[in-house]
Amino acid sequence: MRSDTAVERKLEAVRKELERECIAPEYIDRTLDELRMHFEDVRDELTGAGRSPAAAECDALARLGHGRSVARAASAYPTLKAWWKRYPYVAAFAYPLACLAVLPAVPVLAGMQHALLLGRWLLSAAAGGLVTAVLFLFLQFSLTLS
Amino acid sequence: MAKTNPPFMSGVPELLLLRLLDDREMYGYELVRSVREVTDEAVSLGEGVIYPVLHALERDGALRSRRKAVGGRTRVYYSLTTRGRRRLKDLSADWVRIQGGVAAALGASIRA
Repeated sequence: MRSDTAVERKLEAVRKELERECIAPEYIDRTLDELRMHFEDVRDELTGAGRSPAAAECDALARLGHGRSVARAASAYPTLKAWWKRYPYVAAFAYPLACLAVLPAVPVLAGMQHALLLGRWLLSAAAGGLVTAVLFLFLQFSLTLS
Repeated sequence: MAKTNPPFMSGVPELLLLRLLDDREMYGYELVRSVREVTDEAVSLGEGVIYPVLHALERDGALRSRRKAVGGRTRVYYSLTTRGRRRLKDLSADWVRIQGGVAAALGASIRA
């Protein structure tokens, strides 16, 4: 239990370092997944060689290396970075513009998703308007005729 | 305390991984052990550092990976692609050329 927490803590530290280097989420997940398998392999090998389980786990964790080194190695390959880091101009200009262009369509799309609800709301509003109009007409006639 | 690799080692892990994977498919831990063995422990790769290198090579199309369950444990096996073989050939040629040049320079400075 203790080692599981230790390895999870270590992997969480590696995740933070990789995120700091703007590595793409899919590569972060893959790296952590393979590091976990690697840890288990080293731990089993050391235990098989006669180390105590606690010492084997401790050494296996140390052999994974620092999160900083893993992140630096990943950072050396621009292809592993998140798209917005690889294409900063697209992220800074084209992406916001595309979002702005899509913005007017958002209520329409949302409306399509809740068409039934919107229809009921429009029907209620129309009915309310009709009742109000009839009331005003009635008042108008009452005033005119009195 | 293990001796660390000098800074001019950049690019060497890539070359070694490609060379080892040229023989057969391997998973990360197996590769780390193989590098240690074939280089007589002269080159020690940071064990966690190997994965970004493998992922980058795969992204470039030099490697392909597949998940395989072995002994109740899932492992990611890497193998070389045709592009990877070409890259290995190019990197090996570069390495031989540089190694020759450095050896010649070192020989010249020793003789001087």
